Amino acid sequence: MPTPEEIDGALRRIRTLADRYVRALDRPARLLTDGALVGPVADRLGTGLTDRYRVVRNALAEAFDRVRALAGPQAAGVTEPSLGAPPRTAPRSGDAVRSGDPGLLDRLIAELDAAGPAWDDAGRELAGLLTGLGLDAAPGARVRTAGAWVGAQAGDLRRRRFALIALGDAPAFAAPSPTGGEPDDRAESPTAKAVDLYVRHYLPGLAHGTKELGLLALATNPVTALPYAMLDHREWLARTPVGMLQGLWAGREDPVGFAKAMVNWDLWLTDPVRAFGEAVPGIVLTVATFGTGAPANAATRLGQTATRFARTSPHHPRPPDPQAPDGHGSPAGLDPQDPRTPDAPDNPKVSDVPMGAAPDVVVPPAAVSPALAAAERAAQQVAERFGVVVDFRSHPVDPGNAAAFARALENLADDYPGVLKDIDAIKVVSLDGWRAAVPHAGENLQGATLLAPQGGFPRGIYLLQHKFGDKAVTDMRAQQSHESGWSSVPEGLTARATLVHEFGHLLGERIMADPVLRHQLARELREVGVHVDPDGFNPSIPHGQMKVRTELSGYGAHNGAEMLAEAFAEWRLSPDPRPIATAVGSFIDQHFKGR
Amino acid sequence: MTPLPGLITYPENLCASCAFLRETYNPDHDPGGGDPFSTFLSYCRAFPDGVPEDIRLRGYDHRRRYPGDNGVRYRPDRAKAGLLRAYEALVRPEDAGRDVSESARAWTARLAALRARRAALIADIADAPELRVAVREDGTPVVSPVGDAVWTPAATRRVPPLEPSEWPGFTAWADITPEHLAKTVDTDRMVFVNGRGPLLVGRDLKDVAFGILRAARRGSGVLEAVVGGVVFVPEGVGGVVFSSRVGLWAELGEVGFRVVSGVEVVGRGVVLDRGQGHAVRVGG
Repeated sequence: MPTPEEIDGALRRIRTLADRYVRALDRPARLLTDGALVGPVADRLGTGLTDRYRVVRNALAEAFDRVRALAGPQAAGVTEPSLGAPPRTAPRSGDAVRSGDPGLLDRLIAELDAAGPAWDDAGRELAGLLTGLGLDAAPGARVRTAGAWVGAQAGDLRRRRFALIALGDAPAFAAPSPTGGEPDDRAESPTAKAVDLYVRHYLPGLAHGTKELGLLALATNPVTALPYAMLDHREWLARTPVGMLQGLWAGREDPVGFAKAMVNWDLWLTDPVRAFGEAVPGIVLTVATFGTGAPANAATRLGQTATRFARTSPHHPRPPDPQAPDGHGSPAGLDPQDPRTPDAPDNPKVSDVPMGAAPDVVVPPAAVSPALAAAERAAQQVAERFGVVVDFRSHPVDPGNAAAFARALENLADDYPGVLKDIDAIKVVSLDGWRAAVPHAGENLQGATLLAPQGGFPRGIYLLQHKFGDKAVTDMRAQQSHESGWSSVPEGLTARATLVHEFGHLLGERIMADPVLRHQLARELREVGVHVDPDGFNPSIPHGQMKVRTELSGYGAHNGAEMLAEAFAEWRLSPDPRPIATAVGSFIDQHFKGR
Repeated sequence: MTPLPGLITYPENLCASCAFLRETYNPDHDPGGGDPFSTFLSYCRAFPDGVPEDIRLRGYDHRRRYPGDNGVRYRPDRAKAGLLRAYEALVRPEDAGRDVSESARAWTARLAALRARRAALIADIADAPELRVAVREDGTPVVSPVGDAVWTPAATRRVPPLEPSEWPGFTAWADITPEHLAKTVDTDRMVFVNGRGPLLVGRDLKDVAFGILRAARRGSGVLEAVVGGVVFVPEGVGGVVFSSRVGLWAELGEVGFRVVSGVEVVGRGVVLDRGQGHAVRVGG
């Protein structure tokens, strides 16, 4: 039982913490008001700051009340802490959206940089005070979570500062989130959007269109055909008259599909700017030859279509897959006519999925669609900087899931480049193929990380094809999984979250390999009520395990490695990560982010 | 074998949306591939010792009969209607309604192994040189919620003090007899012995004739103990009696039984605690 002196000391200390820290966001708020940022992003940041102020104020008030309750009636009249008022943010808004003043922006970043760790320190001290009195440390953890959020905003702004100032236009950064959001969520000005469309969509399309024309010429030129065939037999065959005839034959079976492929319909639907870029070389050829090249261009396009269709048509027998049980890429029971929605919403309604849909044997009918290829290219562009091989097409998945892999990879590569350098592959694999390397793999396996080569698979991240064949099903399972408490975040088993979880294993490996880091993180976890042994990193039995189960995820309670991966996923993906995720995530960022 | 780091999907099941589902940590789980079951113990009114894997992991629809469910079936939890819809969408009808008679038998065998472990632990407690229970300042046993269950720590050897932040109110380890422990705990209480599994459930401890069990373990005075006590007699199986219900079920499965005075059975001669290391013939 704490003594009256200890209680009195704690009350005084909480008042001091309130005086010192509760107004830490006043200056960032003033800078916002002064025009450090303008527009919707500034509005969101302002709202976020106000929300976090409330979190901290309430946490301090709750802590004070709890300690005062220990003292009994005689403490009724003690001086309350001064908790101030919410920071006043009135950022300039309206149509004239600009990046704001660069000087003020720098000061804003610096202020957020200072405020985040200050709250982290305050939260840590508050948690210690409460624990010392035998009270729940949760208010301290909430202050630390708020501090981590504020610090993350500074990092987010700093990362995009160059783009902001270079564009002299709208902020191109994500809505406030602990770790930066999805590119899709970003508020962009018309100029920024145009630059983005040009650089990320039109130019790759143009390059691809030019490359296709060149490759077609190489494949049919008698001088270059042989070396091409020796270099890549499958691609060469698809571009030869034999491959084209196969495509044309498949087109006879499915004329509508062939007509769509003629104009690369999927790409026009999903990325029209890129599709236009691919068409430009043919248009240029027509114009440059004053129309005389048009027949050749048409023939070329027909050839490209036949080539593409030969590779993608469900009516065309695909090359045998040595990993598939029936010798083909599709699992037994696959209905190639089954209509699927590549761009299904992240949180599908249950009605989106038919009753008893048998999701694990479904893959998209147009197995290697242009959208899937585009997603793989996007991921490969990120990964090749680190010498990592990406393969989403050998075992096709829903393009929507593949695009989510790519976006997740892009964000992770920005923040943890050193980790990516350390692996060799990110691949989709079939369950049967995976079982050749890991015989005990079960049907529920969604993803895996090899920390050392095994069974012919290099060190890397592996995603199981049968779990990503239909985005609607993947997302629905993710939702169900979260509702049942199995995964840590609402989208815990989506494609994006799976990749983030697996990436978390790579970070966890680094922590587990370093005794100093292990002991440091064990101390951090103890502060949020999870006792782990610093060697194996397993939570204590039973309370540590149960706390992880209820305050992180059921899957995270399996062992220390899964706890770290789940905590990392929540830290990256949740708008409001809970204390365990915050403890692990902020620790990881402190030691690995940007390195 | 240490599992590879990875991510596995939550198995679609009806349990997740069932009002009867309860869960606690399972200290008996061995992730290295040993027995039993899983990290958390899922249990309910139909399956108080653990939900069969047909239902928990493989999508069997427990709105249908399942061997050993004693007529208790799935009851929807209105707050989890979304999980029920997800189950219906994600599980194939042929999986939900498949024939489980064979796998149910296999599950019964696994349950028998779990009960045998519990019976062995009860036997160890019965004649342990020392038995202690964690107590609070007022001398009552420490109770701590672990998931949906309430646990009380006990020990048959010297163990260090418990972490007060995890076991609220812990002040000391106090000596206790097995009989007193059984009387003190509720039927649903989980007794956590020596910091590892298996968990002993209060109702298992209450259905034990400790005097007879102790005599059988030390191999002397068994007849006197049986004559002076009560034994568990299985229905439909002659010639065997048991000193505990959990021992009976470990040997014969979840059969009906009667609790009768030992005097009634010793005249014709019976085997006491068949299947356990201390099994002995009594009377006749």
